[in-house]
Amino acid sequence: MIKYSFLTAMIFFLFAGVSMGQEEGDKLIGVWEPSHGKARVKIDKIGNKYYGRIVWLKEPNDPETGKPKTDRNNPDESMRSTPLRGYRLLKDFTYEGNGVWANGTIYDPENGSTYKCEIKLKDDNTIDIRGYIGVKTLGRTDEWKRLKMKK
Amino acid sequence: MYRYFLGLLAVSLLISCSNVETHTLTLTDVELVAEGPLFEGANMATADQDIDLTASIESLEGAYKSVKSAKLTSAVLHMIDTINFNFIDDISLLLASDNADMTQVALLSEVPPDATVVELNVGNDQKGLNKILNDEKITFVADMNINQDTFIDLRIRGDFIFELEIVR
Repeated sequence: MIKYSFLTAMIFFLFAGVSMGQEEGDKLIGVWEPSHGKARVKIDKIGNKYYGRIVWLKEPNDPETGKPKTDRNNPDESMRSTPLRGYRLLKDFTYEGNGVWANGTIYDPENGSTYKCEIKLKDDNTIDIRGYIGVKTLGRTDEWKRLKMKK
Repeated sequence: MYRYFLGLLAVSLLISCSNVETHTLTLTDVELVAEGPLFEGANMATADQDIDLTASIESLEGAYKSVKSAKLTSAVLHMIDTINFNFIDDISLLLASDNADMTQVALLSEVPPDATVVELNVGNDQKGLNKILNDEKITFVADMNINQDTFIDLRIRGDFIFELEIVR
């Protein structure tokens, strides 16, 4: 009897732990604004990973053409007419615990480059996004704010 | 010199042992859903699809090692509930899986007026698509900008054709 109770307790704690990890990981879901304020990025979860796409642009149109901005620096020429509004610039982040999402990438539409990226939760409404090349020390960190403040 | 010949021999043996075959994978009636209400601007519809290449490809009999390369060659989307695609401005198709990075595979930057069926332009690179197709489950993601609010679920049926190089 004691054996079964112990087993049940172990299973309960295992599932509770997994569920808590998921809940903590989902704190990243929401709409965030980078420090430059030129765009807003919505982060969603697809499968077990987190992805972010541009949902708002301060200047949605290209001043040269007057048409909506597109991903004109995409290394794949055939995809350069992809609109920037809706563009997925954060990809493939997994929650590693302790408010850290890693193994993802960030795309810079200004130069068409993709960097490795790590996200750290500073508080419920602030994240640090660090893009880097190779090792984490060679990179740049930007602070993003959650658009809708949690009460 | 002796080492060089040994290396050459090993490479030749590897090439002769690995048998690469080309196959076509056709996935039809993949239903991408975006739960409403949907608001004007950037939205997405997704579909999870189980992948069993031996069951899906008739010409692929028996066991295989891996998908060496993959390319989406055709992506056709049909609107299910609404009359046409008029409330959608553009569609970008991406594929993802648990063990591989998401990649953009096709795009329609301007949806033609009154279209009920649209064919997307497939990308040149489609980087890492083979890794995605080595997984058991893949996710289709259609990112789109819509030009008006809609209060119903958006359901799109997709038919997709892939060319695969498979290692026996």
